[in-house]
Amino acid sequence: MQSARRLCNLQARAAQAAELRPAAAGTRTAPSAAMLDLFFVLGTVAFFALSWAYVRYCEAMP
Amino acid sequence: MTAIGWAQIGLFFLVVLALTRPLGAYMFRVFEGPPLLPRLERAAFRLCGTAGEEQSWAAYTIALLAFSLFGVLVTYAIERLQLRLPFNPQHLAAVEPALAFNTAASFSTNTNWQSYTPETTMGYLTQMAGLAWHNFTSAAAGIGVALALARGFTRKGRGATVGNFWADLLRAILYVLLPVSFFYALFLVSQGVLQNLAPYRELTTLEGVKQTLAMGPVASQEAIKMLGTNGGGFFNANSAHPFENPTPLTNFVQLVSIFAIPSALTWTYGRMAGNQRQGWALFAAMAVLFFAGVTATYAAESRDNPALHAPNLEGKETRFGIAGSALFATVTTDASCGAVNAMHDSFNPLGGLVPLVNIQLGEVIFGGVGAGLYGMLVFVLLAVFIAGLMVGRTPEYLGKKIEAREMKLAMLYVLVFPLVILSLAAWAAVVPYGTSSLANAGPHGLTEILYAFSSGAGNNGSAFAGLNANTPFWNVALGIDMLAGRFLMIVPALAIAGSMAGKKVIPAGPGTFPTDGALFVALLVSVVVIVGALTFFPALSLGPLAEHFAGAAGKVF
Repeated sequence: MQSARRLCNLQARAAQAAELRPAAAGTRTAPSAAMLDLFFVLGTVAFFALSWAYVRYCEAMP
Repeated sequence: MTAIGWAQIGLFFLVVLALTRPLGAYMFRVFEGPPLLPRLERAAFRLCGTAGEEQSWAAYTIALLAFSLFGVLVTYAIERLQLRLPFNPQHLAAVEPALAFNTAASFSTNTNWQSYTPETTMGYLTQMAGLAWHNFTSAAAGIGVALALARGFTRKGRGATVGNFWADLLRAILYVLLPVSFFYALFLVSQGVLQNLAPYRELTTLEGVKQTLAMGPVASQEAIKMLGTNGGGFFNANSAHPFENPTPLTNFVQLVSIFAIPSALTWTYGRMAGNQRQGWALFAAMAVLFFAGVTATYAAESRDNPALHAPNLEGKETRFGIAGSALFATVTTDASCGAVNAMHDSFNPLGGLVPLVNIQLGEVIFGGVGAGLYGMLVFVLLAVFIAGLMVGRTPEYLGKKIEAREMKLAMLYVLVFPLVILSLAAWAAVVPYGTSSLANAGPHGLTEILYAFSSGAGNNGSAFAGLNANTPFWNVALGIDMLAGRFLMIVPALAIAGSMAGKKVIPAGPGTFPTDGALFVALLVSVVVIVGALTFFPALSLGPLAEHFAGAAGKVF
C-alpha cells in the first residue's frame, strides 16, 4: 500500500517536473494563439516601419 | 478557335474602348475639378483631421502607409474575433492567426489572395466589414497613387506637391467606386446573384443526397470585386460559381468592369497632360499587349489536352467555354484582378504561361485600378531613357528632363518585384514545408510555386489552384510577398512623382522625342516585354515551357 502510494507520488512528481521542465532539444511546443497574435501584429507594424524608413531613404537619395 | 469566340473578344474590347472616354472624362472632373459635394467633403476632412491641402510625395506616402497599417490591423482583429461578433449565423470559428495575417495583408494590398474556402471560414461581418471594405479602400488608394504620379509628370509650375491622399481616397470611393458598385450590385441581383444575410440552406438533391447551399451578401461584394480589380470571391469557386456569375451577360459585364477604370484612367491621364494623344499612346501599348496575350491563350487552349487527346475542358465551366475562359484568364491577369471563371492550373502549359507572364510583366496591360497606370508610367520613364541613350539626346518626358535620381528610383521599382518573387519561390522550391503543398511534381509544380509568388507580389490574387497555400509557411511567406509587392513598389513610384513634380518644363524642340506616336508605342511595348523576359525567362523555361515540350514528347505532370 505504501509502496503503491510512493509510486503514485513519484509519478505525480515526474509529471510536475515534466510540466516545469523546458522542452527537450529537438521537440517543439506550439506557441499559444495569443503569442501568435502578438507576433503577427508586431511583424505587421515592423513592416510598415521599414516602409517608412524606405520613404526617408528615397527622400534623401541624390 | 471559332468565329463566335473572336466575336466575343472583339465585342469586349469595343465596349471597353467606348467606355474609356466618358468614364475618363468623369474621373478627370472628379479628381482635378472642384469638389462635387463640397460640404460632404469638408465634413469628412474634418473627421480625418485634414484640410485636404496639397502634400509632398513623402507626406502622401506616409498617409497611405498609415491608412494601410490601420486597415491590416482592423481586418486581422475582425477575423480573429468573428465568433464573438454579429452576422455569423453559421458560428464560424475564429480565423487561425497565420491565415488571418495572410488575408488581412491580401485584402489591404488589393491582392485578394485566398488561402481559405470563404463559405466555411469567413462570417458575413468579416466578409463585409473586413474584406469588402478593403475592396473599396485599396482600389481607391491605387487610383490615388496613379493620380499622384500623373500629377508629378504633368503639372507645370505648381511646386513639388502631388495632391492630397485623403482627398483622392475620399473622391475615388464617394464619386466613382461607391455609386457604380451600387447600381452594378443591383444589376447582379437582377441576374440571380445572391444578396442576403440568411443562414446556409440544407437541401436534398434529386439523388437524395443532403447538400448545403451557402448564402450571403454576394452581389454587393461581387460588384466592387470586379470594378476595383480585387478579385476575391465570396465563394471558393469565384466567378465560376453560379451564384457569383450566373449568366453569360454577368460574365461579359464582369469582364468589362475589370478593364473599365484602368482603361479610362489613360484618358484621364491624357487630359491631365493637356494632350489626349499621350493617353491614347498608353492605351495603344496596353491594347497591343492585351491582344497578344488573349490570342496566345485562346490558341493554346484551343489545342487538345495532350494527356486526353480531347478538347481541354478540365477546370472550365462548359457554359463559358474555351473562348470565355481564355478571355477571362487574360483579362484578370492583365489587370491585377485575380477573379477566375476557370482554373488556370488545368490550362495547357502555354495557356497557363500567358496569365503568369501577364502578372510578371507588372500587370501594366490596363492593370489594376491605378496600379496599371502608375506601373506603365514607370515603364514610360525607362522607354524614354533608353530612347535618349540610343540617339544621344537628353531624355525628357512631357517637357521634363529625366535625370539620374528618377532612373535610380525607376530601377528600385522594377527590381524589387522579381527580387521578392524569385527569392521566395527559390526558398519554397527547396524546403519540404514548401514543396509538401504542391499537387503536381516536376515543372508543373514549379509553375505552381512561381505563380503563387508572382500573383502575391503582383497583387493579382488568382491562384494556380493546385497549391494548398493554407499552411503556416505559405500563409506567412505569401503575406510578406503581398505587402512587399504593394508598398515597396509604391514608395519609389511616389518618389518619382515628387521628383518630377518640382521640375521646370522645357518647350519641345527639334531634339524632343515624341511620346505620342506609333514609334513610341512600339518602343514602350518592347521595353515592357524585354524587362519581363529578361527577369523571368529562366524561371519560365524550367516551368511551363519545359512542361510544354515534355507534353509534346508524351510526358505529362
